[in-house]
Amino acid sequence: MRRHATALLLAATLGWSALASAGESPFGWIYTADIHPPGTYEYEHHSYLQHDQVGGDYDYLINQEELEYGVNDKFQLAGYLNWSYVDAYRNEPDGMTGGPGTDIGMDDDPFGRYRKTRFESVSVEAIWQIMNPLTQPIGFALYVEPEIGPREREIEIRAIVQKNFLDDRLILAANAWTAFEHEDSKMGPMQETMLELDLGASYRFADNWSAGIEARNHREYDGYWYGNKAHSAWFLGPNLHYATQRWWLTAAWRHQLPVVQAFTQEQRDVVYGDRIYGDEHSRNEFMLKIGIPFGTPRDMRQ
Amino acid sequence: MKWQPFLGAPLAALSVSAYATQYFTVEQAQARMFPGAKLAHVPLQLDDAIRGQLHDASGIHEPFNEDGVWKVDGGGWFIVDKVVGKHEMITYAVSLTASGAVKDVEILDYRETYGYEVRKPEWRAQFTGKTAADPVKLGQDIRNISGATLSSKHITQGVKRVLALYLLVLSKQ
Repeated sequence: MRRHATALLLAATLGWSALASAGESPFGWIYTADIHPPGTYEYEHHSYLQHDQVGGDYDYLINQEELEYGVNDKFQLAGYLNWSYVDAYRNEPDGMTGGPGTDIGMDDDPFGRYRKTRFESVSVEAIWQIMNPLTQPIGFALYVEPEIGPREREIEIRAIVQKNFLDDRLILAANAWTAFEHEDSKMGPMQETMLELDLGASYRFADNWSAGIEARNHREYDGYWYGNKAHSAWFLGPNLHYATQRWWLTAAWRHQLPVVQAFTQEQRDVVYGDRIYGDEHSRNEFMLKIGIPFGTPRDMRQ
Repeated sequence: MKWQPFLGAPLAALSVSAYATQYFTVEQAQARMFPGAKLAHVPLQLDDAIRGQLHDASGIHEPFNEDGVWKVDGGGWFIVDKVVGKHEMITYAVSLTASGAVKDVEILDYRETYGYEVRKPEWRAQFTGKTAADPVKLGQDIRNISGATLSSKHITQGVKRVLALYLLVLSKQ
């Protein structure tokens, strides 16, 4: 049961922390150092799906409704409404029901189906561009996102590095970020710390179209700070981006690689085939993002 | 009530205020930049050495439009080229005086979400009088437009390449 409590904490951690993109981005999860033009807005919807664990059924869909605003040419703000849907049934290595997004207590059937849609939290995101990737040798930005909800509180801090090549058609980006989270579940309160490195490349191979690849190394620690290592997991997968004047769409997929490192017995218990599942990860992750910009500077001819 | 959150993206009824596709055809740009003048098409075939020098001068990797050069009867040049935009290519025209100085810059096609300010006369006027001897560099002698950095940068590089083309090729014809 303790494992289920851990799941709840890690679920939200994984979910919200991994849902990252500022403005139009060719990446599913990686932020770039670009920010919104001053005075313009963008509505975005993000759907992040964790799919498949060891057996049974497992889908955890995390949704974000976001409004971004370019404050000035160096600073961007955004507000998020986060909600989720989970459908799990005997998906864990021992045949029990659990995983990210579930909240199974002592009175719940551990072998029954768990299905729930719920409001998760609201969050505010601030991005400060320190170096512009278009006019300086390298792009660099800092990001902070506090989040609060009925069951959780979290703060995420991120460093964003970007380098463009080939007339800015080829974008290389790296995000190093950490997050500290407190969650209240049916099994009681828990604290966790995350440390993650995301690397990606995207190339605009035709007008409107970009494609690339993203890699993720996610490291988890028990409690606040980095003293008690829990595990390290790797993901890799492609992305595809289409953008026009009026809207854009990004789809991405990451597959967990069979190279997990588990540092505690509790973590080793949820490793199967050198991948970690149980209470926080899935075999595959999918991202779909849709963006609609508005507040465009008015065309002077109209 | 059972519902499908997978289909639940509540896309708000938001719209971008203004979009454009083509502002001028090549013929319209020619008439605007050289009113009443007669222009003769001058197809080019640039060798690798020249292409390399154009790249070194401008930083642009996208190939130059060798089919986009006209000589103006009585002196001057009209060049149409393309540079990379955020989503699609930006088509622009540069008119040069007989001595190779920029007479004017005009945007023909622009299909981006942001950055329409590059069409403003006051921004384009910064290029007037520039020659191959000038830096023609964003943030140096060409002012950036906040929110239109990519377009400003690439158009500036494009004009620089046209000036390098004049120095390396057109001035010798």
